[in-house]
Amino acid sequence: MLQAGLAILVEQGLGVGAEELTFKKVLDRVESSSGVRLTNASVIRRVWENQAEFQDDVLLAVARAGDTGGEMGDTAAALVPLFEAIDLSSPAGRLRGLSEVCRVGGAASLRTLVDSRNWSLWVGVWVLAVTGPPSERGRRIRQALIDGYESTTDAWAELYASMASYLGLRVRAPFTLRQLTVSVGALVEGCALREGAERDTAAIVRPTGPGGGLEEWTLFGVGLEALALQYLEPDPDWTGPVTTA
Amino acid sequence: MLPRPTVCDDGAMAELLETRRTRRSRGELRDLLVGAGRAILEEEGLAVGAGELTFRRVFDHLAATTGVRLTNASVIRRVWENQEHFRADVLESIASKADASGELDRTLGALAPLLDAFDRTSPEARVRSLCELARVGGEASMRARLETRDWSLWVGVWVLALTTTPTGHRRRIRDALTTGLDTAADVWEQLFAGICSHLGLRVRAPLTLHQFTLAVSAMVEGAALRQGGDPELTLVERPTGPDGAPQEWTLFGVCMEALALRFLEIDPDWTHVAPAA
Repeated sequence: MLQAGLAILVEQGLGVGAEELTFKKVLDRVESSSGVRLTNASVIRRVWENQAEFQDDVLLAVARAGDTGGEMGDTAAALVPLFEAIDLSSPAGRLRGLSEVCRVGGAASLRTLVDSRNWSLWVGVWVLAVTGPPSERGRRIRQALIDGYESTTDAWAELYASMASYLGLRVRAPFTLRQLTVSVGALVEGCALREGAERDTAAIVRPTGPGGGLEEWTLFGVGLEALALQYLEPDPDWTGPVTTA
Repeated sequence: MLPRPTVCDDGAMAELLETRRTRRSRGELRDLLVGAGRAILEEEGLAVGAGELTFRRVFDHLAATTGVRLTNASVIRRVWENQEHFRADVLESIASKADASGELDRTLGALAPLLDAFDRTSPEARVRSLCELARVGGEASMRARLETRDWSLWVGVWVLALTTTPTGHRRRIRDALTTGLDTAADVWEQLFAGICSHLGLRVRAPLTLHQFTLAVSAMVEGAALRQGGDPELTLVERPTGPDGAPQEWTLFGVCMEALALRFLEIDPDWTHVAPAA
């Protein structure tokens, strides 16, 4: 039932929140997708007290999901071939590598987020929780959102730590890796919201390629580079990438 | 005691203690109910995307707050075809106001005293001034958004519009959002152009001031969305004051500084003109 509820929201969007997620709609979905026939009597007072409680459960599931859209996996996949080609022999080379990571990883990350129905649902639930009046229901959803947010932020921070370590970079005092992660997350979500409202944003062409060759950047990529250079600097004690046998 | 006006089912308005009848225009009725609808949303939040915004509740709200009495017959097929059209109008009116929080005015208010006091006599001083603008302006801008219900309503409508297929009413709401965003971006761009001119800065080629404006807007919107859910968005202390004295920065201010330093640079052709005595 929960999965069917999620599927309907993924297809039709939050629309006016979860109020259109009726038992009838969900039961029909279950029947058409799995052949299982259920009635209200199957679930009311057995699984949920009422329809509203069911809707809350669906929203809680969306809220807890965090990064199930695979944004991190797609970003990492886009970066893997890049890392092998980065010149790590000098601080300047490592900073150039950082810029390229921002350009390529930024584009991949933004695209995945914009195309992700899971993310737009998640951010929709977030906004409903933020704009809603204080209530027990809102508090539960908000807590679930924070739980999902915390685990996603931790995972991204680990990814950034690995990348910084590979590139021989460290976080500038007095900042923390977590602050970098939160800042980047805020920027990518702001850019994704803008992208959703105004598609067809023209690429930015900059002479950042080898020999000043022109390369395409997203606006998020440029912003990401700005944040990376604000928060990170070459680590003078770095002796080279740690390789595993 | 003041007479309590009543609006009859045919749209005419009567006052109980007087026989005079006034007929409100379609536009007046529309404004009246859209305003009341917004007021309810501001008090109670979007809840489930205006789904709770029924004519009944709007009529009750109007009766309680203004004494004006309306019925379905006053508005249905006169002003709106149905309740759904009314909701769409309310959401569209929110969507079209991208600077509903008055963020621009409040940011300007915080920055105005700084602009006069800045040391602009050397390139280093001008860059320092830019950083101070990011610190103070960033804090003011973020606070303006977070302290108003208007902004959270606006972003709520925006996000809800994005999570649905843009058909019918939703397309109108999305179009209103886009128009509102463009208008707000134009105004912010003018502000940034003025700051650049004042501090002798220019945009790094091939970037544009419009791109800088969009990046800053995306940053503030993303940061404001997270505010309240993440304690890391609180203050950071940095040794950026005179002689390295510690100063408080919001994380958004730190990001603003990063964007400003990436998009802007010293204009070597700029000449400092001292203000007339």
